[in-house]
Amino acid sequence: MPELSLLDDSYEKCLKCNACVAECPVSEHTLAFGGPKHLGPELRRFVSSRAGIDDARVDYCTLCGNCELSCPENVHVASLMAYAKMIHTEKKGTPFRDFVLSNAELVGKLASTFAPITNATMKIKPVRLIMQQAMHIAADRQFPAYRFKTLNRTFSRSGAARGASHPAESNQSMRKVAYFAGCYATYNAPEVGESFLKVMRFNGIEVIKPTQKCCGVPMMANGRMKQARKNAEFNTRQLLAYVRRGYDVVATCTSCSLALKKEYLSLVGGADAKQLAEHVYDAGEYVRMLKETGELNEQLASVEETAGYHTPCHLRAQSIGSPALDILELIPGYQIQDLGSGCCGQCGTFGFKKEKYSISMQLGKEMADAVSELDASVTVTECGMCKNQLDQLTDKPVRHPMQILAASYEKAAAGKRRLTASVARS
Amino acid sequence: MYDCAVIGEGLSGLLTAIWLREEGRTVALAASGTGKIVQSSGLFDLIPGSDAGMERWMQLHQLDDAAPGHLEAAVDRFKATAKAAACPYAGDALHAATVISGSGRLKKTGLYPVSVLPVSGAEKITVVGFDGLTDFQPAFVAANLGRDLPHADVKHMSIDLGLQTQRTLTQLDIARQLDDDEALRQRIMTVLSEKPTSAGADLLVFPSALGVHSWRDLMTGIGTPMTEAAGLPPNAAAFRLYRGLRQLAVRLGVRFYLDATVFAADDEGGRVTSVRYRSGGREQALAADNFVLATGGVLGGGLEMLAGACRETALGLTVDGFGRPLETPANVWTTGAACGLQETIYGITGGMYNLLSVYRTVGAVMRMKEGSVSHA
Repeated sequence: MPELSLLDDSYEKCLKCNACVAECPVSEHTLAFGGPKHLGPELRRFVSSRAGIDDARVDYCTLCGNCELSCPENVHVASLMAYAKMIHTEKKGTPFRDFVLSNAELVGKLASTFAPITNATMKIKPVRLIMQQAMHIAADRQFPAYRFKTLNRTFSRSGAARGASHPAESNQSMRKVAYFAGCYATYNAPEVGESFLKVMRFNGIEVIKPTQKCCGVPMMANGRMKQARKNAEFNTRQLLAYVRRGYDVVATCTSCSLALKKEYLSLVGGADAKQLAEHVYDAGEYVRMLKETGELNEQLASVEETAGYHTPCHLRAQSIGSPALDILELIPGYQIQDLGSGCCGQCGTFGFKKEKYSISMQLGKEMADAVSELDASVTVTECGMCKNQLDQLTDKPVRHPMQILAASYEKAAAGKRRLTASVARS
Repeated sequence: MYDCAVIGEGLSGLLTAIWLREEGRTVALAASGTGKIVQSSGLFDLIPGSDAGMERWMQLHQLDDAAPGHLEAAVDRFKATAKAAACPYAGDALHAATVISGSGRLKKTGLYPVSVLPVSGAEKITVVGFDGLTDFQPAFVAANLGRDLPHADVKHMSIDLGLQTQRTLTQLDIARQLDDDEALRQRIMTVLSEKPTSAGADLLVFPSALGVHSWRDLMTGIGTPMTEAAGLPPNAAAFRLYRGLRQLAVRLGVRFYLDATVFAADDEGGRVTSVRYRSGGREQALAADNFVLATGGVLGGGLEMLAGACRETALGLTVDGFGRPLETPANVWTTGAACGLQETIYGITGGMYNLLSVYRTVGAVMRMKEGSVSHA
């Protein structure tokens, strides 16, 4: 919290070179935002010997992290921005809208319980206009659908209770995975979680889903740092218990994995956060690691499909290359091309907000243009929020890399079964 | 495991990655931050701050007789790459062009983006600035230009685009606002055709701010011959080149490891097997068959000056007082400003040297057979 931000003296190294401003997707499209250089290191340097200053323009920061990636001097620009956001929220209070949007988990629980009603209601125009009036949520913004059959329900239905293990199809692997599903795969896209479980099953890896809370990223993005820290401490305790028993922690959501790898180091701090961070993998990164160590089941059936790949900002921030491309290129016939188009503009809760909606749309335009220019049959991306923007701005179906990989494994297994059956007949 | 890992995201790093990828190699690019390409003017000089030609350039970099031929080939290849990156360049290595800088002074340069028009006998010149832009002062530019072109009639004016902001308005900001808002572009065209200061001009001089993407529309729309003056960072010309090259690299399949500060190497039998990098609080390894250090000189952070000595920051190679590696592992190359302090003047290379250096590095990596040593 504030005492932690005092410890971060990385702002001293800022040369004001403007690399962060050049890379900031929001600065690109609005002059209303003060920009990462001004509101990060410069503001921090200015208040280093006096009380904090609340600058309302920090509200436009999405915490995408591109400023931090671009900084040649390794200034923790995004962390400085996160603290500036916290100061702003503490002084101004959290508007009801931001409170709701940042509580992805609570919203997920409620919305999925009444899923058919929630989804239908969210599509009614008068309801959306009322939401815009009362809640300042953009009326034109499409919402992700909520599922009654959440991952928690399907996970327990397939024979494993919550927190207990998901049986592996074969038992060759010594590896065990603690799956951090996150709010999106739990409440909006259980098919993503199920695909990941399948991929692990085809590799003989046992998966459990430890009790977990929202990773905290939506809270941080809305300046609710204290709530984010509570969640971070809870998740660190839960996940470390498994790490210490030899589990690898894997997430299918790139914002969740970024939080576990990087954000918790400053939010929770200490040896615990560091130990956890060393054992966290993005799902694609994990599969690629299995390939590199020679452990991957490479019985993959061909998938004749062209795809465009959109890199989420929070994947780029993990400094791991493009694991989704690396693993999908292993599938025979799969033709995937990086769209190379930068930030999607949804930016988590940012793109739902009325006053930010037009910026969100301008940001998304470059990505949408790249999708239509490439004209592949699907778009692949890891992030549920990027998918939300892609769903709104393009007409191509959007898939998580684990869905493609699972389909290839299943097709290969079905082919093998057919072959066995025909051999048995003859 | 990649065929080649390039360290650094400046001009040298991006070009090395793109050219190796075009040769069919799998390439990773690791960088601790954006390279100094974003702080450049977008022009490619033989020798920074000097009008001297090829002979002096070859002496300066202690080049062999094959260098001019290699440079010409490198320039051709760069032009093709820049075109593919939607940021076409003109000019050549042997014949310097005279262009207008952001201070209004004339300078010689080798390669320039096509939004820059070399000076050629214009008589009525109008310098056009934008209200609120501190990095380009039309009156100052016009006064300097008038001194360097005594026969020309140089006027100046400023256009109010109605942009409101509490942050410092840069040339890049204006370029992006012009991209987003067609009405602003229209406003410029209307003002220019209506104001007597600009209506009769045969050359218009603008800051490097005419849209990152929309510059061509604007130039066609205005009609009068015009040029962007090479300007202070962050400017549109340098940003177009950087973004263009990076997007091209990404689409070609170069894998980017950003916020990755390389700090050590693992070696085995005189070869580097992987490099270690720090990202956030984590340390990871990146394995490859070959490694290219495009980490820059002192400004880029690849070299550090100590009292009476020099330090190579990424792999900790043993270097001499100029930062030149004394012993390089068989599969490691340095390129661009990372080759040592003797290659830079005022801390920079000028650009042309990078093209030659990258061209030769890529050639050497391509000739590298597994397990053999073939350092040129």
